[in-house]
Amino acid sequence: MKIMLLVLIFVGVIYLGISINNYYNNRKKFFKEFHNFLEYLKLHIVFQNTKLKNLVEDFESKCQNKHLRELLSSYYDYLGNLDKNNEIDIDFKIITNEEKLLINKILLNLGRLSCGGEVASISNAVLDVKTLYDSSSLTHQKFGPMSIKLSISLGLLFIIILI
Amino acid sequence: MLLKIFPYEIQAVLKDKIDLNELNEIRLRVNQPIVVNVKGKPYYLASYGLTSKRVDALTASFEMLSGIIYSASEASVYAINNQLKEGFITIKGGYRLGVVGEVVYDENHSNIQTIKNISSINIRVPHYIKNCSKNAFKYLIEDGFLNTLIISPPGVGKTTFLRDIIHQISLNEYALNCLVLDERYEIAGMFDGETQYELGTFVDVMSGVDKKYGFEIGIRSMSPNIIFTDELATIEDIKAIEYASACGVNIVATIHSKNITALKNKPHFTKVVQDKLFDRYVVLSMRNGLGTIEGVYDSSLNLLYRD
Repeated sequence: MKIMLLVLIFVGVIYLGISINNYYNNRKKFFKEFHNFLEYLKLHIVFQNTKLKNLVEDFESKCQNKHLRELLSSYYDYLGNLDKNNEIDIDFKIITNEEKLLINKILLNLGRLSCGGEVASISNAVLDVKTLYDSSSLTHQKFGPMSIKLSISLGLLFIIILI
Repeated sequence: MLLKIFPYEIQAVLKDKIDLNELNEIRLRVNQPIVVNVKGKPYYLASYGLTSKRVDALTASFEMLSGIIYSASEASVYAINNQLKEGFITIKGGYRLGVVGEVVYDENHSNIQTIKNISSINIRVPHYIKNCSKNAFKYLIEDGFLNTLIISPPGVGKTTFLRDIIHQISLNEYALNCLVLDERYEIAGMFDGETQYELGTFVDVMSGVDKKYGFEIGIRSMSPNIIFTDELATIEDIKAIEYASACGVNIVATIHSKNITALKNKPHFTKVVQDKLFDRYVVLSMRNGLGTIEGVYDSSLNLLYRD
């Protein structure tokens, strides 16, 4: 019984460490993929003049990142109901409210200018998202692997104490 | 699609209080009352429907106009910029939004880059009026289709009439290849590669094309029997028509003018009438409502038919 409890605590603590690592990793991946999405928009707007709805649909179908897929799906709904919606629903928890506001602002500002203006506006957004990516990458580097190591150490410490 | 481009308040009035089949035009100007044209008559748009009282009228704002352009472009203003800088946008359903605002030129001040800060929008609601050209149609054919010029002031129904002539050709089973040069997307209302009106079986459409290029390339690539085009205005347009006639292609075109006398006073067009470039003139008026056939005339300006 005691061994079972020790194993459970050990697994639980490590799970917590992995979850923390995943949180930082998911943030990093999300911003990287969002950055790629904006670059993709820029390229297709300059060369093909494709409408946003088609670009969003296309990128969503190829996107590997669960959270960005979710965001693009909400954005696609917004684009289909311009007369009813005035904001994009962002439900997932890996980004802060401030970051949600920024993403909403970026997406809501898309498609309002001529090609040149649009590209300049997206380029600015790319810089903002790049900053978020860099900072999330740094945070992940700093806390991600450390949280796993710390959780293993903590798990072992619990075992030692409880034995 | 038309209703979806408006903010909810306007949408609700248009949907519930106005018969869209009778609506001809909606005009929005920044900080001015919204004006709608129903059955050829102007009214203000109020929350309860049509009114002649200015105080009750709903007012358009700058944000409203920007929002309409954004929605009309399906959130992709950059994708419609080529149309926008020409002063109009066509949306699904063949509706045409004429726009004016601040014109932005390139560095050399030679080419228009876009129109920003839109200050007025004029939305024309097209109607397909079946057989509106039927009474005149038989006068436009002899051994083949005759070169025809449709004449009327703006908003009287020239384009609707032209569209019906194109349709009548297929309806009457004339196997004539028709090429529509739709410079302003009004005749066919081409949207995402599809015409928004039933034009018939033998119809090819070139959209957004200027007349000079359209006539040259169109004749070379599609070998049409008849070319249909809207709103002749310049000497270049006349030259393009002369070129097509010389190639043995018939023309059906429209022009803004009150009547034939006024047409003859237009620069360049005196010679067009004198040289009998057109075999038939169809004059439209509002005498008995939109699109009344005021007269079908031959090249010597003898009256052949009147509604």
